[in-house]
Amino acid sequence: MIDNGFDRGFVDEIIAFGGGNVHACFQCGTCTSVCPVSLKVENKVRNIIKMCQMGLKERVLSTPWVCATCYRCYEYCPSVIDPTELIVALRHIMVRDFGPPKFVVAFSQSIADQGQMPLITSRIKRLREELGLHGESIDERFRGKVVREIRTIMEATGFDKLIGIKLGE
Amino acid sequence: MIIEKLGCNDMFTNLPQAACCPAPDIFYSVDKATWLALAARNLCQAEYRGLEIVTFCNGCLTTLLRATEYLSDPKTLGDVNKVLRRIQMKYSGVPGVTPEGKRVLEPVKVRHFMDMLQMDIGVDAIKAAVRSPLRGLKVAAHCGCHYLRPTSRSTIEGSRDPYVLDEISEALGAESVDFQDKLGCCGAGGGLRAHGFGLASAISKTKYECIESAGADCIVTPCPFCLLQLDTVQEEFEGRKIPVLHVAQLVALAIGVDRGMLGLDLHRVSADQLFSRLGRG
Repeated sequence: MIDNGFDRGFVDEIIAFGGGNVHACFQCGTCTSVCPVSLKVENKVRNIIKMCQMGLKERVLSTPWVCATCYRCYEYCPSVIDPTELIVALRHIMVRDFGPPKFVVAFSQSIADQGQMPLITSRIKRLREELGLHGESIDERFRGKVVREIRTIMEATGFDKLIGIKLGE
Repeated sequence: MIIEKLGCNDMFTNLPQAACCPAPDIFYSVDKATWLALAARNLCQAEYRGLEIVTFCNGCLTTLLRATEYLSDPKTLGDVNKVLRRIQMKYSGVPGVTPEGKRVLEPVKVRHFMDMLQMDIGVDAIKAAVRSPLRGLKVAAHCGCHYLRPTSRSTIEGSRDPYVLDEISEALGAESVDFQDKLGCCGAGGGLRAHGFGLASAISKTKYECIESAGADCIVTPCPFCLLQLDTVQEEFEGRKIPVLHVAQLVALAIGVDRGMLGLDLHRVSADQLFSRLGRG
């Protein structure tokens, strides 16, 4: 229910995505004092949590990627909530409501295509061989099987549709 | 190469069908179910063969270690195995039996290479293997976030006062210098680098300034992503360039691996000053 811009169901949605007990935050600000990102941005972790408690969904979802997932807040939170997991839950919600950021699409696609993220260029192959490593980081004899298994998993969980990537031709 | 020189070849074997760990920022951040199933697929490769997994990367460590933690919940494990059944795999994680009829008693053990250097190989053996000590070299030991945190997982050191990277550096003859915000983030994680809105560089700059003012000759890290970030970001900064090394490269440098095999010349920051500092220019 949205009431004057306050989404009453927002906290429940966050908790359902593993965001932890949002209600337990009493705004002490410890998370913000150890956060490398909060030093540099306007919406600090503490503010984000408060906005979540208030149900300010739209405002919060304009900033969910502003987190290095360094887990320092988690280590120090006296209320034993995990602000990093809260941000992760916000990302889950944002991707479902507004779609994924471009880098997630690109990297997911290369994992569905080849089982790993960095593109295997001929330069990388040559460098690996020069350094005494296998030319390929995934054994070529198994590459086809590995990629098929990854695609099957992505299809089973609906990841391809969620992110909008193609599983093969 | 360093594994050979440290005489522990027989501790290692390849997992030829392992794929991306998967990357926490791409998968854990957007769909935990897919993240966990892909991680479990990798864990199965080790579980079937009764192996531990060792990784050179903080990101892989955090994914695989946390995955074993998630999979210790029977309901979660059941859900994941429903997905894995489609590729004829099953992760046991608790007392059970593999498809080949082998008994499995505990979750797959996931460790960082640092853990092996410290626990299996040992600081004394590393010291004994040193051929060209890194005498006079001031090293800034940057552990990186996901080697240390979250501490709910089981790693060999806690998150507040890590010492292994410093101990290894000193065993190689270098001096580990203290610097402000030592346990802080490099700036790359959480999709900040990939998202590319300048925040990553701003965080790296704080880190770089702390390390620079401590007078370090180089940065050493157990994480390839921290390495990539702290190495490439220096192109944006004025002032002294500080070479960044992976802990494996630092060990290699001291136990007599040739410069050409170190991979240091692939980094953006030139390693020349490092070699001249060591009198090997």
